[in-house]
Amino acid sequence: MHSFRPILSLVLFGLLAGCASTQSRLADSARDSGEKVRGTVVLIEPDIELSEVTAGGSQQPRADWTAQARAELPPALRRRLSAGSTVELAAYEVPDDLPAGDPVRQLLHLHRAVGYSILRHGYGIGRLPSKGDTFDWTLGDGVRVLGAASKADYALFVTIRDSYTSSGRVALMVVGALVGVGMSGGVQTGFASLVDLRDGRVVWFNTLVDQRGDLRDAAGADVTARKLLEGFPL
Amino acid sequence: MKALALGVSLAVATALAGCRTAPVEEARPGATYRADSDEAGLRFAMDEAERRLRASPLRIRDPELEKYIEELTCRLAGEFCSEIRVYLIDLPYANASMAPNGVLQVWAGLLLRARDEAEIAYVIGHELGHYRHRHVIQLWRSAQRTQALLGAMQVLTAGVGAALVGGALGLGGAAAINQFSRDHERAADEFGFSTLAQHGYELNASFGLYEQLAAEEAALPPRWKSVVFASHPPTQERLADMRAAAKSRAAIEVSQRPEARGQRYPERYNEIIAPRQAEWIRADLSRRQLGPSRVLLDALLKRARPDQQAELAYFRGEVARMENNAGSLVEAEGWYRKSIAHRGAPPAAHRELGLLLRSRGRQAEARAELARYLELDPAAEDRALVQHYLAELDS
Amino acid sequence: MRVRRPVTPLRAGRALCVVTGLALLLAGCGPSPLVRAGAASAVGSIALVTPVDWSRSGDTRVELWTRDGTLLNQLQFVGAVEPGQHVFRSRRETKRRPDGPYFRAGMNGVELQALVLDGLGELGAVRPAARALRPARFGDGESVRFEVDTANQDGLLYRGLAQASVHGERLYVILFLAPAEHYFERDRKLVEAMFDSARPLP
Repeated sequence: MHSFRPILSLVLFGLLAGCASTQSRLADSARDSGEKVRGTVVLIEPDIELSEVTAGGSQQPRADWTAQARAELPPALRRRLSAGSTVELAAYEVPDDLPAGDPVRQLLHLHRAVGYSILRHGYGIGRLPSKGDTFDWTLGDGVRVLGAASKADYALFVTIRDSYTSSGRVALMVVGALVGVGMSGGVQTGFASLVDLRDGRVVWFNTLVDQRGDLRDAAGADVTARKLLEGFPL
Repeated sequence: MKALALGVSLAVATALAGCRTAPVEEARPGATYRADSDEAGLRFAMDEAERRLRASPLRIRDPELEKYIEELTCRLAGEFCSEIRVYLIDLPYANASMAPNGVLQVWAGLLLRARDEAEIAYVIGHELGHYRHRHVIQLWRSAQRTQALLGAMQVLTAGVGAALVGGALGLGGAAAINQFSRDHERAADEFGFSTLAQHGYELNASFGLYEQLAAEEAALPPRWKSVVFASHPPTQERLADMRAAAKSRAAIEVSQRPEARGQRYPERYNEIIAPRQAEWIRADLSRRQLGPSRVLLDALLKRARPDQQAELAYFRGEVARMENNAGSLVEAEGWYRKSIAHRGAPPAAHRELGLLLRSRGRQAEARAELARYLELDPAAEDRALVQHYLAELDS
Repeated sequence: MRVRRPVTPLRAGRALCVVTGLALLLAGCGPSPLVRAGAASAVGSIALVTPVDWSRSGDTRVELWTRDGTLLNQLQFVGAVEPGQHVFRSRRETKRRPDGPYFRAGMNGVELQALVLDGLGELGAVRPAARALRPARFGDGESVRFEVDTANQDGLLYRGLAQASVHGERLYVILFLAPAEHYFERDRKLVEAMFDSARPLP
């Protein structure tokens, strides 16, 4: 399946996006109505992978770092969200062996596609001429299945790919992705999205740019959580 | 004017790109990151790849077929049974591969080509040999390329097939990683033989598949490399090694136990495979490598049971039709007619014969065949088009 | 008095590209990236009417239109494929490289459907399958429309609408793909209307 050409503009988009002053975006409907999140937000099992950048420049996935990040980030997000609000963050783990056509599984795949589309077209010069600055991405009202399964009003998705050299961290960049390609290795990105589980709207979206939190411990996870949740409509 | 402004803004963007370089942080004192072993990192990568494999749309979910291959693998693996997980992959290439974490992939193209259980048992035994002797770990150590290995392990989509179809071995990483040395291959062959002998299979079952694949490869246009051998390109010397080893092992076995000739279990195997055969042949034809497909179908026709002839004759006709050179359309007509002469011929044989006759201006005959097709398959997905053709033929 | 030649989007684009080297490098030469609702054309050879705006990229042979990003909806046009040419790519069948989804003169509708599906499979679609093959109006030759079911590498299910039409002995393909969840149904009717309106440009 084709990707949007030219490829060069994707790289530029990524670079340009990093210099934008705000990275988080609200759905037009949320902005216009001053929507605030109330009720239960379910944190869909974060999609995190941490790699080590070797001296040769290649990326080696690190089991231990990834496990640490997967353990540290959800509590950090919970602490951030519940501080000074009534929002409750629940956990939802995706069952492993869902059949291909399972609606929940398809919604998670769809969210991935929507997330990448927003990354690519929601900022800077990546914006689609026919869409302009409109922010009205949605998963469609099929999300009610996910709402029923998780018993929540909203779903928070987090995707992070991050690399560290053996002596420290390499800055995150936001780069557009190709069609349907799995995110193993070579791509550095981070984004979070909030989906209304009653109608499927992506209510809020944020990209992680130039973040300095090291996800391998609690303190760093806290910094990351704060950055990730910037602009969250509380 | 518009393009000029665009050009300017892009130039600005390029200049601003400079602000993206952030300083790399120094290691923090007292950091307690355990330096993990390289193998743990590899294992993690493989477990992630297995997670994706489990959810892959290319996985064959056929409980009866999966159970059969799983049970066979477990028997062959013996004490390793609990470490092995079998994944059947719906890709039309003759491939089987074993990852260091116990993931065994068997591709549809292999299942289609094997003539009996013994041939599959040999391949699985061979792969178990690679696992047992940790060949992949050794290779990986020397290559130090986790990403390439990951690429080899992941189920790649038909896009990979596309790279193969295109003639270039797009699986660059995988092909390189799977270039086991001749010693590795000999060791795995030896393990394969032992497995066959241990479980009472005929040792000559070891090289039939490879001969089949070599024949298919020989039918490729000269420029294309080892497309059919997705993971183990058998050079001539390897084939010779295998034949010689099989014959000498067989001789030893027979001399020691003259009454035990070894089994192959063709009926048992074909009963499991038969329901899937048409689908897999269609997928093979979709690759549009007609030389190998022709060789494959000729081989299948040769060993098919009487009740399978109609279906295979139809597909053989499809190959001839797609070849579309002088004489092949006449050949195609012959095959379609052969197919419909049998009971239980696929309805599509009538459709293809009808379309062929239609293109040759034999309208009355075309009409008869197309009408027969719709009679036999009233719910055909192309009903509307065929009815349109019939209406044209009538007017 | 100088007579002005009508400035088509394609021609205007080319003129501007000559003016700005940077735009040439970075934005690519081609048709205007915005397709406004109304009368439109694709690949310089297909005329159609669209009820909504699209964003487009591409060249004189293949165009890709989208509304929300190509992962969520993609409308692909392939124009004037010659006999011996690949259905989606520009390469041709040769003696050293025979076989492949190459267009041939005289293909019937069933063969055209198989051509598009096999071409899709080569591009990376997982197990593409077709339904409801039927005749469709376009130009002076064989023309068929059908539904497509497929998936991407992740496992996201896609549905599609395809049309393959021969006109002046050249093949024209229009293909719409969108996730089965929400996106295909959302745009199905408007895309169908676009297909219905498509005709070869004289």
